[in-house]
Amino acid sequence: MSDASPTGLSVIDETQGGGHTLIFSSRLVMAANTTLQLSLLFAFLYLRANNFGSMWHPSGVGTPPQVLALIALAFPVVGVVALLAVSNAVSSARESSAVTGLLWLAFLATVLTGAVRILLMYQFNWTLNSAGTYADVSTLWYAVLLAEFIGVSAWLLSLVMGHVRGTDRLGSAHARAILEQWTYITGVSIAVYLLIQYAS
Amino acid sequence: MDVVSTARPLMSARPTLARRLNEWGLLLGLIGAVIGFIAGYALGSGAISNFYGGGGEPTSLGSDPGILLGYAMSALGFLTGMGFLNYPIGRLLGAKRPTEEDNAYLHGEGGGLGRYFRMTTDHKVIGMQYLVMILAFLFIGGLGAMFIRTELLTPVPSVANAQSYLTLVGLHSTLMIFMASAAIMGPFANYFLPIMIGTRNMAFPRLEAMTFWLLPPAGLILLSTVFLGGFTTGWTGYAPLADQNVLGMDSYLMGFALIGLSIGLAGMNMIATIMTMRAPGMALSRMPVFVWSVLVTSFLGALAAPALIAAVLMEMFSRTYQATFFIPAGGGSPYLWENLFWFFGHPEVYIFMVPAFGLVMEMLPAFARKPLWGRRVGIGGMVGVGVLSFVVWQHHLFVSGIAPSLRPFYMFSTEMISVPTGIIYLVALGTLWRAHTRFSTPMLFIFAFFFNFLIGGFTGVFLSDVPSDFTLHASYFVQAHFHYTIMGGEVFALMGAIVYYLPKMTGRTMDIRLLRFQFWAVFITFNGTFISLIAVGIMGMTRRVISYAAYLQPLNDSATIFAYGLGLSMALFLGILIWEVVIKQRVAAFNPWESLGVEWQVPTPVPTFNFDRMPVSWSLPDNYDTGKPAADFGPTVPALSGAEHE
Repeated sequence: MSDASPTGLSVIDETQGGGHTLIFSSRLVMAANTTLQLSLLFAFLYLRANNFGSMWHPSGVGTPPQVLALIALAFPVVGVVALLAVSNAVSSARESSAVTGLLWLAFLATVLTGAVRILLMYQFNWTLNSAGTYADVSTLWYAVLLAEFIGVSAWLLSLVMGHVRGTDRLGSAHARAILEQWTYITGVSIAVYLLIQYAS
Repeated sequence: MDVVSTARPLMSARPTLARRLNEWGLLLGLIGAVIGFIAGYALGSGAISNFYGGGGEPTSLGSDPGILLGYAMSALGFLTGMGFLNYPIGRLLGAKRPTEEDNAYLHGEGGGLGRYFRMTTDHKVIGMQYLVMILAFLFIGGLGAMFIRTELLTPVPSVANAQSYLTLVGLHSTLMIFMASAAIMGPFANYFLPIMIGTRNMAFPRLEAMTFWLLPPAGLILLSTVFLGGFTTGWTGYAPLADQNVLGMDSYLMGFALIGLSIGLAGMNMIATIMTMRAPGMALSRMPVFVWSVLVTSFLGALAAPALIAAVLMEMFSRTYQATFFIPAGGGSPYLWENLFWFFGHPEVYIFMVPAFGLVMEMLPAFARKPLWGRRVGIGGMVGVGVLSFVVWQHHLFVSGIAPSLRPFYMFSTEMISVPTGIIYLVALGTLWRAHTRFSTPMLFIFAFFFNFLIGGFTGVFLSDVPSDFTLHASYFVQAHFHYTIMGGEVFALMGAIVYYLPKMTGRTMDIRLLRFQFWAVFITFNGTFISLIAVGIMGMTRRVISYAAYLQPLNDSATIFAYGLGLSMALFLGILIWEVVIKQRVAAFNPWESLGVEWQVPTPVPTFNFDRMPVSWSLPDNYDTGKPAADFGPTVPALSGAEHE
């Protein structure tokens, strides 16, 4: 077959996603996640505003343990800082060993985040059938955020392992995308903490 | 510019262990599902249910935590057996990325019929998998409709009792809603989207495959409700009835959760593909109108499905841990479910319809032999429908107790939807104006689509008006309206698209005379059935109720007789399809409709990786004034060679 082409273009790059597609898709996930978070926010505000049967937050039902809740926020913030450093190191083409160290630090922060949040949920100390809808929404919201933290931690682990084993060097798009995801969930967690702790 | 080779490696003669296992993917998936269910059931019935004072009252069939976790883990086990976790686990362990050869294998290169029964990343195979599965589930849902109509031949219960009738109605409607959400997006967007925008595959091919393979577990989990006592809520799953239902309700919840996940993930994958992987020259303004409809629908799916998932999670929490999200005595409210469900549910209706709009506007120019008139306006119409669909959901709550001050806004916003929809009608009329229209079989389905949807739209106006909605709410008028839009609209577009695209997807075609007979049979019986039901609705017959007043029997019998005809004519369509494509294998012309669309310029069967080299888009895809094809493929198949038309 001839390579003759009506447009005169005979050689064309293959269209493929790469980093642009990854970052775009990651932001799409954040957009969809926003709908999920807004649905939970709607439930929180709606049930709180109506306080049906005075069962929004009955007396005797406490709030999540303050200190543990703050620690559960501190580790994600450390993760954000570490991932920011990873992203900067990758984009400035720093040494691979420096990137590896920062990646491990970020991963450690994500593991501790998950562990502390599980411990926090274990300490809620309420039974859902009698604790009012405040406890229902809080438990579900913390569970959703825990699942999201674990999901991003798994993604980070795959990047760490690929980088450490040399099978897949960390690229700037991946570093940026995971930084954005972790920052987003951390931001939501802080907002949820403020809401649950102080707007009950 | 450097030369980029797009040639693909040939498969090595010796398959690896992973590939050998992949060949048995479906069987392994089923084994994984059984093991997953047993493990999940044991875990859910035991330790997990003890948190937060949950667990509920176990019955002889099990407990809610056991059933729900069993379902969740059976779906996970199915996907694991199919091989979907191989890649992410490999990445977690830092394994090497799959080679080009591995990817080519997974894409189905060199695979025969077996690739349709395993995890395959070729978007064309996935499109065909969707088509077959949707037709199969539509058939099952259709059988349910026949049972319902049989029961309604008499005003008093005759075949079923009230409980099993309600379960039957719920199963029919939920299954049909599941399938309708993927009826056009599944087969046609997956198959044609990459070809239409000039790329080799979706942005995330494994994810694309997973969105398909989530549907069989969802459908089977839903159907398994018959072993758990069924559910009495219908497809809307309203609380607090859902809290009071037996274990069969868990099937509904898990089925809907899986469907919501599939819709959301598929939407994000398609948006990413369209926005970042278009061929050179394929500006947004040049994108085929069907691709535009897929883009709008994908945004609806990606942004609406999370609200459904939130609602379903709340209901699962309620059934497993006795949370009281929807129970007023515990501080909850049934309105919370209604709001979240319909925030998803109304855009969901346009997840059905917008791709149908796109498909008919895509097919129309090929038969009118004219470019689509007012193309940009038509695209704007679809975008308008999509945007407005997010601000109308409370019209579903007019009767159940929405604050009166909110009613005018939602009445107005709902009625506003008729404007962009009307624009799409105008675009169709403008395209047909002074056209030398070819009345081929797909064109008949397109006409029927517009006719039926017009009735669906007119009846919808009465339901968006607060006063008339108070009278007609929960009657057969609503049911008939919904069927006019979804069956009369989407399913007629689906049948037209199957006839239109079958030559490209399979290289086969169907008998035109039989199809024309089938078209008139389905068109007449459909309208006979649902005009009867509009009438009984106006006369006050309530839906979802097994018995009715005796004076409504003649119209009900009329509806049932027409419905039997409708069922037979739909079965005839399936019969023709199977006979002509699978058994007789009637060979189709290369481009039987003489279409100028990009998808018709590639060879049939479409090569595994779609193109020899990447195409360059250089004009609109419906340039019928000049007859110029939409893209330059380099050494390509001439646009109209071998064309034959009816």
